[in-house]
Amino acid sequence: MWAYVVRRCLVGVALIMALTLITFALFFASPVDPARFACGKNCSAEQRDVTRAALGYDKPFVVQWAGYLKGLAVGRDFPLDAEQRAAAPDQVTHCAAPCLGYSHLDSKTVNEMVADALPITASLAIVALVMWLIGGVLFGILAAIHQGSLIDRGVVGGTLVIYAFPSFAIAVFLLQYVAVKWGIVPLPRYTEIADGGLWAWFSNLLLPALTLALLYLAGYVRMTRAFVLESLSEDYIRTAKAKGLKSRTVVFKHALRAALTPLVTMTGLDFASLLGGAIITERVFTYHGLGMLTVDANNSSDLAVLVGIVLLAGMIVIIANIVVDVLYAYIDPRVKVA
Amino acid sequence: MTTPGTQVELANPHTGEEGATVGKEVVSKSPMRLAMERFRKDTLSMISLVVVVVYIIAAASAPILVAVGVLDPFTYNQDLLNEYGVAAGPYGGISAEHPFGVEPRAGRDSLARVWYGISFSLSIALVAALIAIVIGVVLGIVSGASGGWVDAIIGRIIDLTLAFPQTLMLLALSSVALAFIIEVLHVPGSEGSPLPRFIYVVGVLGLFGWTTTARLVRGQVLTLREREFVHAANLVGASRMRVYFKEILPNLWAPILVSFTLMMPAFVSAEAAMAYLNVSVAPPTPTLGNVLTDSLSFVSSNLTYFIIPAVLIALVVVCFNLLGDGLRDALDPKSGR
Repeated sequence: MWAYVVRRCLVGVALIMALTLITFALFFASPVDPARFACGKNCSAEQRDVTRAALGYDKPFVVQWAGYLKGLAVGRDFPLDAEQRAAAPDQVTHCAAPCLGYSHLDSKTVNEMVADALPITASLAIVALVMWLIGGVLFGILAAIHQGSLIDRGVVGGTLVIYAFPSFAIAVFLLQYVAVKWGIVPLPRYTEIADGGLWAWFSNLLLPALTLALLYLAGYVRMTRAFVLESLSEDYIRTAKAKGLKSRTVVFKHALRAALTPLVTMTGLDFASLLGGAIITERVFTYHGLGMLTVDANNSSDLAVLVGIVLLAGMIVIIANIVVDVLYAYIDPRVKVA
Repeated sequence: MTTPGTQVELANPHTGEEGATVGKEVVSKSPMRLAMERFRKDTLSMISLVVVVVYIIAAASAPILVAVGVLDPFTYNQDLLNEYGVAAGPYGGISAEHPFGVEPRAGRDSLARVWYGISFSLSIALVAALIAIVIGVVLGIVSGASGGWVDAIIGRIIDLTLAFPQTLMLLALSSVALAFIIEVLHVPGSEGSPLPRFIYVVGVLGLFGWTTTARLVRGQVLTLREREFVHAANLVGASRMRVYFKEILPNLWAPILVSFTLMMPAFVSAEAAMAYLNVSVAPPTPTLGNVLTDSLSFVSSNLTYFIIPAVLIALVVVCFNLLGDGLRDALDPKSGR
């Protein structure tokens, strides 16, 4: 088992290195000059040269990549050019490991920007996750035990229709009608638990998290339904029924168990890749999380931030993959780890 | 070439579901014909098929109708708007001349906008899906048929590609990639030509969307490569390319068709999301996504303008999904939902 974990981790490190290499190739290997974005508008040729040297864009991209890996491992000092650092020692910014980069436009390390945004996205993700898991499992079971009936079709069809509407349309509708026009919930504004308590935090997350959860709900309903249906026809379910167990116990304790392993896998991976969906949700509700940070960085073409976020997202997915695989081997003894 | 599609299935006179009784002529049916029969019996799939065909006809006819002048998605009709810039008249200014009303601010005909928009949305999805299918099928076949280290490397490439969240990449790459497309590839991008953004959206969707197809195809190839006709081809000395693309590929059309049908709605949705983030094809060229995005500012004052593109997107996404499911059930009766 431990050998398996170690091997998976080594592959993970290799994947992260490949991930950074590809990201660097995508962003910096093309003939398009990245310094022109980092320097901002109204930038003279000299300023651009200074920026280029400060961010190391004058080096071949493989060297940039190696520098970035070094930053991830031990941290880096910006500007990267030694002469510039020597000329203005008071303006040197240290970016501690794991260094995700430095935004020239905002004069901040990407780590600081991510640290400000991460709690918001994490809150959103956690509430959404709880919503879609509970909703997905309950509706999935409901559909499975009423297989072929109107309830089954209604649940499966209804979630498909919700999934089919673009999530930003649902989000704007919820915001404009449920919050603004009908006033059912207050206008969502992110509140930290420290500021307003647990309830204020949660109630403000209600609509954004619901939007995000609806995006995933259909998939979870279908999967729970499929696995519960499959296990309902198994012999051990018949045994459980025959020995007189309550149908609730049969469904939740016996039939649902079969759906547990795929649910864990799917949840882990979806949770890791939530950032994609969060971009839209955060933009509609103007929550200044990682998604909004991406939108802002894209509007100002701040490549350093974009690269940092892409890598962060990629690393989260890779790590989640490893965690899921190890969990899988742990939950299900039949999985061979050799 | 040997195709298992030609083998004959005889209906069993005693237990056969075809209901052939002893004495009657025994009907032989190819798996293809059986699949078609199963598909036709499935009402929901048939309805979806009809809707999808209607969309395709609409998409194909829109450019012609615009060229002829029947549809006019670009002319401003500001005389039809009230002092707030929203369509005068109820329900977004629906009239005989403008059956879907007119859009706020500019007063262009909504029907023409969404109709032409279907054309752009579907072509984006189609081209992106074709790219993704080609990459996915080639890598899937090579991976499954070669095995060994090739398989391992392709598996890792899939893991890596999955590590890039698609929406994030579409947004994050846009500055660099659009500059690259316009300046390095010299795609004419001035004066509102939709081409660079079209290439961008299609490229990113295609390059990051092939993984599921590759995995699916690989799984099928793993069983196909042990079949007699593949062994036979190998024995008579067929080249690797021939085995991959002349022996194995023709037997994969069913999973390819299904994954194509399920990819289309995903890409239509993705285009809409991209339009919302301002990286898809931009107005004045309409897509379903950018018409819907434009309508968001008027949700409370002109609900009609919002609902029409939203429902059009939802309808095509639902129907493509149902069609894909129906095809899968018909082509592979064991898969069961």
